[in-house]
Amino acid sequence: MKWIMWTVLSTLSVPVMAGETSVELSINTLWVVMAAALVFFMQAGFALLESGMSRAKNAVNVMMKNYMDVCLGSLIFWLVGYGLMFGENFTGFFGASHFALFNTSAESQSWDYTVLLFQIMFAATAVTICSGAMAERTKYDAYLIATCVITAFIYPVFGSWVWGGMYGGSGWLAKLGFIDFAGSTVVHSVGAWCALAGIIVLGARTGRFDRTTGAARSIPGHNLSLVALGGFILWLGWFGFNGGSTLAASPEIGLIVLNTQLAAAAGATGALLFSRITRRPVLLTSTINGSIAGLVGITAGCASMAPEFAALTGLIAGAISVYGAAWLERRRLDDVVGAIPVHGFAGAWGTLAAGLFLKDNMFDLSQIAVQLVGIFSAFFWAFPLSLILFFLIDRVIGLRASTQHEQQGLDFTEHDEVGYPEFHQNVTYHREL
Amino acid sequence: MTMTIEAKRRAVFTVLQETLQGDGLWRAMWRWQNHYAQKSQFELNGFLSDCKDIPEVANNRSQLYRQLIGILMDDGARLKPDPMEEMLKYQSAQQRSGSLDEMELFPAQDWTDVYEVVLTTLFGQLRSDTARVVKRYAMEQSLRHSISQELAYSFNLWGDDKHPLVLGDSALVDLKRLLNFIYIGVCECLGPVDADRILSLSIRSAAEVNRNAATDPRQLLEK
Repeated sequence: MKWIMWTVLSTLSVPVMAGETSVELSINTLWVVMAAALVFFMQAGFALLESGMSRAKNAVNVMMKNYMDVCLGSLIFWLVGYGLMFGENFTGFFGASHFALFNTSAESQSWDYTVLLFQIMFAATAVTICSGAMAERTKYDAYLIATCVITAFIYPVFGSWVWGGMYGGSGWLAKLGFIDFAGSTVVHSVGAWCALAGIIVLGARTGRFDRTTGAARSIPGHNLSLVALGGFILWLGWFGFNGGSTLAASPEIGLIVLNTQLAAAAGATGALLFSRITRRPVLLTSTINGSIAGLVGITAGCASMAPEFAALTGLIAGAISVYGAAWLERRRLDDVVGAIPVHGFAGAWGTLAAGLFLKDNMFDLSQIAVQLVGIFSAFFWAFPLSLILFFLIDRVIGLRASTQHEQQGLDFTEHDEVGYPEFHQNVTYHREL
Repeated sequence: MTMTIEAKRRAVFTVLQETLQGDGLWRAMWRWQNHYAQKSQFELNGFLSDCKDIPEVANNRSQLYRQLIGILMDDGARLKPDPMEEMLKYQSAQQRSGSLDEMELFPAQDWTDVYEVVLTTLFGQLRSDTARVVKRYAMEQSLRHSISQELAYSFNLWGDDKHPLVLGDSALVDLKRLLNFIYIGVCECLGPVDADRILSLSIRSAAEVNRNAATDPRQLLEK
């Protein structure tokens, strides 16, 4: 519905232009900066969750990737990404101003800084989805190069199609009326499609699949407590992710955060029920992934859905995350943390659900068609480009760590330090003291 | 006569001690120990050529070679006792006085025993059919990645009672790569979790029996 797009776009630019009082501006700024801090905290959640799901010998490497995602992502999105995503967008395909906020006007400056801060966190979230899927066998430098390109180009260009035009013009998907309030597709699916390309180019971890039968072998994470803690932190951070996307301290935040909470809870429940119905063990990892899938699913429609439909969206997203993980396994695609079903498949479902369960206009076929156009656009933009990107990186500097490095663990080989020097059970590396 | 390193050393000593005494004898023995002990007896001629700086050997090379071959073909009754203890005493004395040249002072380390324990423990944890698959995989990779042919050949023969592992002058880097190929083979057959456990246990077992700090099996896991 157009009114949602209007609300989102208007909140991006109106506060200053419409002569908003300084008190309102201050309160809005305070809320958005706090939300940005919550979204920043999600990086800690990702780091813990991904690290916990990896083997002990790669724990530091996973943490390092998450850490540098934020660092490099922040700088690159500030310099390049923000202008491409939110700059003047008269073609509908990319922004072309406000790079590094050089030419921001004095009157809108403070608000621009706030929006940039908030959007930096979104960009970092999108790119960090790749790190978990590609964990345990990716060269660190190669990964960082990919991070830079995704943050500088792949993510912001698609973002401009949906959220662009803050300083003039509008993205072509926004013009169609595509609904993605906080980024089920823009942030999560795009990140997941990049991750999918990454794991295709990389290949599975050595021994992950039986060569003759193709059966998947379990490679358990080293610390499920970290996974649980990471899940809780992500859940908390999501209140800022969705709630902050109003870009105003408005009464709608109550519904948005309530929907977020219900979808997450329903996501975990959906994963549990689906596991039980299909006679799978009810794993901690799939339960937590279920709640995150619920969160991803509701991100698109959290502002435009009644709570009961938010719960339904989350419930289905949770089931999708379990089914999707098994589907990938059957295709011998090794996604270490289940990022693709959680962020990609659940993100696509959530975006569709935002059209299906639109308040006051449910099951509108034209809206559903627009949502599908947006979902497929994201895939056909992000997946082929990142496939080319990872392929080029692989050819030029090599994307995959050597088998010796895989044996010794990337903590030791890439960073020369290990996560658990005193508790390392398997002797897989040796360093002379 | 069974062709162990000890038997070969006794044979070389038996022949050389008739011609050489004192420093010359022990220097020659250490040269053989460091550079030829792992090689086949057919390389003894090369060893004698290498000793051309010792006049007694240079002047009697062909005669010494015939004697060596003869004694190696014999039943072993004529062999003198193993001279290793005296060799070590000589080495220590020279090391204290600082007069031993660097090549002999820091001999190439013999990884045979340690590596054999690692491989025996590692393959001992595999079913025979899995062990065959892993060995074949490691062999293929060794040939594809041009690991020392001598090492690959020895590894290929190793595994039955007839062929002990002979590493010769194999560089540590080659030993590490071969071990990695074996690890990857185990990963492919059993998965990385079991592969980590099996490799870890093998290295630990070898570390327990190893008495030489220079051949600490954990070095096989270094970068």
